[in-house]
Amino acid sequence: MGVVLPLVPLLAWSVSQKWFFPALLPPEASWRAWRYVLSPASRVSAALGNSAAIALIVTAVDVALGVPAGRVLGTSAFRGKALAEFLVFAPIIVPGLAVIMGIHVLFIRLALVDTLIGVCLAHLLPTLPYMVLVMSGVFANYDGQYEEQALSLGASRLRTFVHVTLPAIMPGVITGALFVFLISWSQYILTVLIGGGRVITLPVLLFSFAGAGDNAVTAALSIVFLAPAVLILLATSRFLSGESAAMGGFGRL
Amino acid sequence: MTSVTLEGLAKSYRGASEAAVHALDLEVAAGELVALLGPSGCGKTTVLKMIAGLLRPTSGAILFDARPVTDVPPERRGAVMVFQNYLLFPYMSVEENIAFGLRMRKVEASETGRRVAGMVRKLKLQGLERRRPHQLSGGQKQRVALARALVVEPRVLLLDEPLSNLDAHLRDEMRELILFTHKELELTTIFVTHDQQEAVLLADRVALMFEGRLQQYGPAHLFYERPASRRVAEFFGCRNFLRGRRQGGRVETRVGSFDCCAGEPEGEVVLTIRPEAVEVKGRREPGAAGQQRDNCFEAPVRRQIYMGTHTRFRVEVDGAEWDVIAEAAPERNLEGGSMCLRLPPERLWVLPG
Amino acid sequence: MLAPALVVIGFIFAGGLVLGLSQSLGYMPIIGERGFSLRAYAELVARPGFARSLGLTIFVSVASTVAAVALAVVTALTLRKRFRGKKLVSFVYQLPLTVPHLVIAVGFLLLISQSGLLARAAHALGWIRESSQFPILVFDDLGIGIILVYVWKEVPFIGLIALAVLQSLGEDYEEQARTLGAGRWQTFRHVLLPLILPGILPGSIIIFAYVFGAFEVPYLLGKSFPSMLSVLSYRLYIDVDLNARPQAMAMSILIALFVLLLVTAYRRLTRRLMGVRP
Repeated sequence: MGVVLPLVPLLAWSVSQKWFFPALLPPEASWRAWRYVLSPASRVSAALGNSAAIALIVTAVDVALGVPAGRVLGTSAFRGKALAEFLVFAPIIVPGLAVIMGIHVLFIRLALVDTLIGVCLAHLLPTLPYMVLVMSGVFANYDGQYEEQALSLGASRLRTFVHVTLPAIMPGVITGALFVFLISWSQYILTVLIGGGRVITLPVLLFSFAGAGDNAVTAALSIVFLAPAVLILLATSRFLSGESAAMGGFGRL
Repeated sequence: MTSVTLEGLAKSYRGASEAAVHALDLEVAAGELVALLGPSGCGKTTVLKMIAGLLRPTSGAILFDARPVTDVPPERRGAVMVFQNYLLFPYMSVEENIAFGLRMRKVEASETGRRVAGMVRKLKLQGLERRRPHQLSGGQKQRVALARALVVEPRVLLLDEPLSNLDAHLRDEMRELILFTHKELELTTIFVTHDQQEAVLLADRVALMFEGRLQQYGPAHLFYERPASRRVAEFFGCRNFLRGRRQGGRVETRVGSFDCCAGEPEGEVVLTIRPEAVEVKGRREPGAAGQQRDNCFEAPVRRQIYMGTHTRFRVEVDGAEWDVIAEAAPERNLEGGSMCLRLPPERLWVLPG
Repeated sequence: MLAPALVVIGFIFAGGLVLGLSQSLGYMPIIGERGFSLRAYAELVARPGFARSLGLTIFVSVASTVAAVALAVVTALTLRKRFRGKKLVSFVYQLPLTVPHLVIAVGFLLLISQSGLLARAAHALGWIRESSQFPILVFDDLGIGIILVYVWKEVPFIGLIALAVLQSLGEDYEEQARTLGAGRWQTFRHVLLPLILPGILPGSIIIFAYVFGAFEVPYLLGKSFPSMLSVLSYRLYIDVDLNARPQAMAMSILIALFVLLLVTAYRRLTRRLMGVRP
């Protein structure tokens, strides 16, 4: 019950206008906020596009790099593994702001600030370790003997990968991808710092509207921002269970 | 010493087609050691948990010393249960585990210490007081679990499968422990098992259940000598059955007619007799064809298995297989031949047909 | 196979920390500083608001963690029994997991600010007459709004772990305790709680560390002075006075160090407690 409560004002305000204290219900319903938010002329669509593009690129890179890394960490033991684990998982706990402030200087030098690419790189910081975490969990439960069986039955490495490995790890990959998408989607300060005010994403826009005091637009924008998250919850409610590694991430968005 | 009486005790679960326990009537005398025996799923653990107060009966009553306890919550009932896997609280020491029940009842600290120390001595756990459960051997865990239950001086002791999943050595130890505490403390004890050997070895009386219903209740020898039904006999390892027609003191069957005692049931009946009770006679005395002497008949021998201390024969009787146990080793292999068997009338038992 | 990921993370993460550290020590070639000194740290700690920021941050982190854990355990205890509508409740329960912090912060803002929905409800009920009479829950001294947001977000996170632990434990230990004479509350306090806590400890530490170093929600809902530590570091970073920059770095390094120390200490501790697991 308490869960839904804070979401109620968002819905209500988004369709309101001139809703001042102490009125308990909005005096008039209005679609002004929504019309603004959904109109192509507003900055919203551009921000939406940026958020989506960045999140997609980041997710793709995370999958490409995270799956092999997760495989190594989940299945093999080697010298220095503890150190590698530490290096990979430490960024999950250390606040991103602290790190990004440090590397900001370097990004300036490399002319990565104010660019989409720079922001994507920055977003890799909180997302890649999570992907590796999820994938190493997936591979830890994965039985490599299926691949050996396939190879000994005559399948080539590529076909083994496509027909044996991929289906087995796919649920994990999808879950991981979905929530690194959400992590990137929700980033604020990293985008602000590296994007320098030139790269506008939804959370950045949301922040400025919240500060400006136009509650209706802020509320409507919040709902737009929220939409993929809820969709993803619906999609993954099949995969979610008590204590999977992915769980560890959702609380941190 | 508390007596336990179950009156019409029943338990059904919502959505289940069959009740777990059907209207059970059972009475355990004060100080008795009773076994609830049956295959898994027969409801015996459900009954135990209802006596403990961990499950509410759907109907019926439970009485301790003729007073109803059905509405008394488990922590106040005085029926302590010991579970199959001991469930020692993992983060407490042996001492703290044993003291647990007393602490919960707010028994004064020095009194608790005294009683715990006494129990430690009685169950030979000296030196282990500060250890954690994961540092104990299986036998030690057993004793701690029992100590923990006994120190609160329960009215009734309930044991859930105390001897299952134990290796032979631990099983002996546990059996001795149960008998010892039962005798020492004259504690009314009810335990649940699926192994008839266990039940027979330990219990004063055995209650056999199938599918939530009580089949037979009494001292162990009853189940062997006078099983209440064919299924009961089979559960106790007897599959010697012979259909026939009883009239007065005689039963007519397809392999011959036999003397047995008179009584109920009359008419279509099934004869049964323990494999150990069947007498193996030498070759049948030649006599007039069709004439039968003294409850004997001839049966073809299908298999002969030498078991070391005895020999087990599988013979064919009226189309079915019987087990016959003979002492020691016969000189020759009788397989394929036939043997003469005698069914002593005093060992024959008659079941309704 | 592992290398590419390691390189990227190593470059950004380790690079960021190293650069941050060096800047905090005063090594900033950009403005011509090439010395190493701990001056920035000293200046940071000596700042008038520092102690209060630290206190506030610790308070908010502790309060959020404790409240989230308490609520999570309670809801897990209720959720583990079967009841009608459980699926729906479970779904709603998991909803906060995917909602971004910013959204919920905005939602709470609209709900509990002095002109928010709750204030208006209070007015409608006749409890208050003016908006200023409604208690200050955001931009306040205690960070209550911030705490509420994090509790809202983290309860399902811990709750699901608690639920998994409870389900794997089964009811056996409780039944054993009941027959030994423990009442419901006693069973919970002496038996269940000690069995669940080790399981939810890692999650709790993570929440604490996360809230400690968090930026977005405190930035949106927090009072300007004193602000929580990450907000303080950001303010120092964008300060026009470039001398504040090393202090911003120092703050970041301190936060990062604290969090890392916390987690390593926790890992050492659990290794010792491991022998107690059932």
